[in-house]
Amino acid sequence: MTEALRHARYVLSENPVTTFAFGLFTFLVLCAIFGPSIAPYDPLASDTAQALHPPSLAHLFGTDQLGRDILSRVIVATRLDLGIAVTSVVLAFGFGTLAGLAAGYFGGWTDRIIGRVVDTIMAFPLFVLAMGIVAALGNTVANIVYATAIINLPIYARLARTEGNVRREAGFVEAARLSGNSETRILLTQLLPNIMPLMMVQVSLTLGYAILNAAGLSFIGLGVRPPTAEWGIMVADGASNIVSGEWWIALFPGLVLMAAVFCFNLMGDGLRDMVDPRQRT
Amino acid sequence: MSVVPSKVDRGAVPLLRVEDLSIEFRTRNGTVRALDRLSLTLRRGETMALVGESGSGKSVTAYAVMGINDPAARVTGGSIVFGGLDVLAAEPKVLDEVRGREVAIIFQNPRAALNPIRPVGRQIADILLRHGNVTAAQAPERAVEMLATVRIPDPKRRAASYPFELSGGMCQRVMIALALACEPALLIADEPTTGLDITTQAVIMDLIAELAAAHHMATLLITHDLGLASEYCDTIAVMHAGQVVEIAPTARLFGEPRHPYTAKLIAATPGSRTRLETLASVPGSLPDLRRDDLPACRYSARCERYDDRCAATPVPHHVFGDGAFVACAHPL
Amino acid sequence: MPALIVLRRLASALPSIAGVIVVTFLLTRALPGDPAVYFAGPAASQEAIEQIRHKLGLDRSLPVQFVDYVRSLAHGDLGNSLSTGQPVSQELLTRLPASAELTFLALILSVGIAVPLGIAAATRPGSWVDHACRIITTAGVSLPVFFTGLLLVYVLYYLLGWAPAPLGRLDTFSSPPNFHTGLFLLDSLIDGDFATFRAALAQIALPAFTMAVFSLAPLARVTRASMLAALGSDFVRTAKANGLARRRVVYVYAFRNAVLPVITTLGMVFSFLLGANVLVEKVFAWPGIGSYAIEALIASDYAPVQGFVLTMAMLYVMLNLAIDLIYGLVDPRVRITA
Repeated sequence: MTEALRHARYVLSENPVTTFAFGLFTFLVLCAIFGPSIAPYDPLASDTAQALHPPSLAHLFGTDQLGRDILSRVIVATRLDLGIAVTSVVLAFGFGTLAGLAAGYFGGWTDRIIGRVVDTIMAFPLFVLAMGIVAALGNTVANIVYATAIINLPIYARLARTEGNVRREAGFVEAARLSGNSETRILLTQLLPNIMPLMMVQVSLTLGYAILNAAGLSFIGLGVRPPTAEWGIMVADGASNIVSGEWWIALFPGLVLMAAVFCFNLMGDGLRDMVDPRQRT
Repeated sequence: MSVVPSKVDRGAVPLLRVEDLSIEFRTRNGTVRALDRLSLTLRRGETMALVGESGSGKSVTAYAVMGINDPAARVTGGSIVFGGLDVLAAEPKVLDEVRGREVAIIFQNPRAALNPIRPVGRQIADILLRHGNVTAAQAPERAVEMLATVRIPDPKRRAASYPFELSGGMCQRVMIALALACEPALLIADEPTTGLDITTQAVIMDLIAELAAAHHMATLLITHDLGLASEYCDTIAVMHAGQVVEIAPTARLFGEPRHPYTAKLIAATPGSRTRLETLASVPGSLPDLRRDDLPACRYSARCERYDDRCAATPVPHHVFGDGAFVACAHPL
Repeated sequence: MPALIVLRRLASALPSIAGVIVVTFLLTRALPGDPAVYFAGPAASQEAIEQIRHKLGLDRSLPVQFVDYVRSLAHGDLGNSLSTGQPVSQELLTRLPASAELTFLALILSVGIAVPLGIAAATRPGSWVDHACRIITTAGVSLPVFFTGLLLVYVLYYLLGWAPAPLGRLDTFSSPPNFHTGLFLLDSLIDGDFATFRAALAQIALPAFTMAVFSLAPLARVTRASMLAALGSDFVRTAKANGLARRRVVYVYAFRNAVLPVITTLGMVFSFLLGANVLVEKVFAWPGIGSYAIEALIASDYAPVQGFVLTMAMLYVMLNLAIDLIYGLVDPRVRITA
């Protein structure tokens, strides 16, 4: 364990960019946890007298059409957006990895059925599929989570399947089998830890994609409803005001959204360098 | 297409002179001193083998002669003069003209060394058009002729084949055709038979020898197989850890090796008369070439004749007639 | 032999098509509550709801419904839109050229920028081009396409006045060209109508560029990586060792090999592009199938949304098939062994 930490510390010191990304990630997580407490104003409180004020000392990010403080809304939205992203990625990772491992390891019909399901998901342009799912299941945040989870499942399933396939006849698996472990036990205790590093890289990258997806869905009116504060829906709110010059309503949520996604992508790249330097681009 | 007059004088004596060549590579883990004051000469029509263990710097030497070393390689001393042309000082454009035309190289793993998505005939034609005195209309025919020269059956049909459709042996023949397309004065063969089966090895080597003799072409054969070297080469240069330790005509090298490493290599080489039990191995392994404190003679750590003089700079060269020499403080 | 390759690829696409049809069918039945209520609309009476239920066959068993569904699809019947009363398929067909024009222009722009950039970055490692490429690649995948679009509108339209108002395919003064393909740029060129061509180009420039920026990153990344791999390969070493001219080595030897993984990546790029299409159509009020679906969503009009999902999926399957075919024809290792 300490060897891994030492290696991690070495890579971080060589990579200021990755360190920055980790720092930003920590900051975002703190915002998510403490959001409501550190927001200067109530994100839902509208004050029409203060509507459409550009950024000022009182309102660092300005106010929107209903006079709500945008900074507070952006901070509070962190919890929702990160929450959606993390939940959907955990679901995608959990189900996808297990399905993929099972498919690769057991082969046969398991492989064929799981393969068919994964291929069917991938036959759709992913965002469009997410739209269809949310439209069909209902316009709620939970459904955004499920839709995002479904469209991200294939990546994990495929990665895990390759690993399962490769490791099927590996020595340590044979040993475990011979010592009487059940197949599921082998799957969980032997195969899973081995692919964790690769999976962690993927998780980080998928988090970025999940946030973009959720924000995109909210932008077109799916899932999150006003007056809830969420980055995508805030950009949508500000969209119509862009052409009349009130740039701050859409800009700040958009920038924070970009920063969050960028942060996860950088972290993913940094993790990849730590895990498998040969993959460096 | 006009032929640019060559900057290389094929009649120069010697054709190739490498003198005190030192090369180092900068890597993440330190600087590797790949070659240390390496010298050798090659005459027109002569066949020389460059023999040594993996990692002894044979390929680095060959690539340096052609100027195709990795950009991480830096020449820290010495000179390479090929047909009167100073290779190290030459401009890239001049070297591009010389490569493929006056000097050519064939690599090991021939299938990987050929463009996988281009028919082999076109690949030969590319070289002919680049260097040779052919028109675009004549090139395809000349390519087929080259394939016939390297004895590929049904050359006209094969010219349209892709490397993946050919066997390893046939791919190596194609490589030879590529190399010999413009009848160079020097052919460098870098482990040309590794990965091929025994019969194909012999056939390929025979082909090279025959074509070399026909065109009075000098050959530099790079190999770790002393047996192969003894069969096909007039002269053998033995390398160890980036240094040339001995150069001698083949018969004399085997009869009277003068360097302790040479003797060990010969003893480790299976021949028709040695039995498996009498084969000795060379003790130790190559030194780490990144170290600052390498002794003057890099064989020191593995040599039973070692004494303090071996660490002194430089290692004494004993020169004999006709370019033969040994670099050792305690020659046999 | 090419005919056989085409047939075989077509056959391999059939399971995907089947899967798509099944999934879209399930989606139409997954509507919360009573699907008949949703298809009849919020203002419908109990009678109208029952009528719709019977008309759409929602009172039958699931397998029978599926057969009906497939049969309607075979006839091109995707149901009717609640808000307009028009058949969905007709509306989609009318709007498809707008989306197609936008997406393809974005793709051409994207490839036109990404591929040269990737090649330049690979042939000049460590240079500013290489660094720029790396930055674009990492940052590009982080850009929310709707946000980029809005930013571009703000800067280029509101602040600088260079771009026209984002009001759709043409400005208020121009009228559409005669219909040949439905693609305004092509149609106006065919007619030699340069005024309309310029107007259409001005309107499509910003949305196409927004989408192009989005798909630039993965393409540039793959191009750079595969060019680097090709340039470091054994066969390029052979080409250099034989003194071949640099142009030939880079383009005929390295690039033609490097382009193969790029073609494969196009599949993923299209997935992104088709999704981005929807968002960009909203930002720029582009009258394509994406905005059709969004408007229908807001109106709780479900038939158009499902028709849209099905159409997009079919398009995607066809595009992937085309990419597969192109790859199969371009790579001799696939073409000959197939």
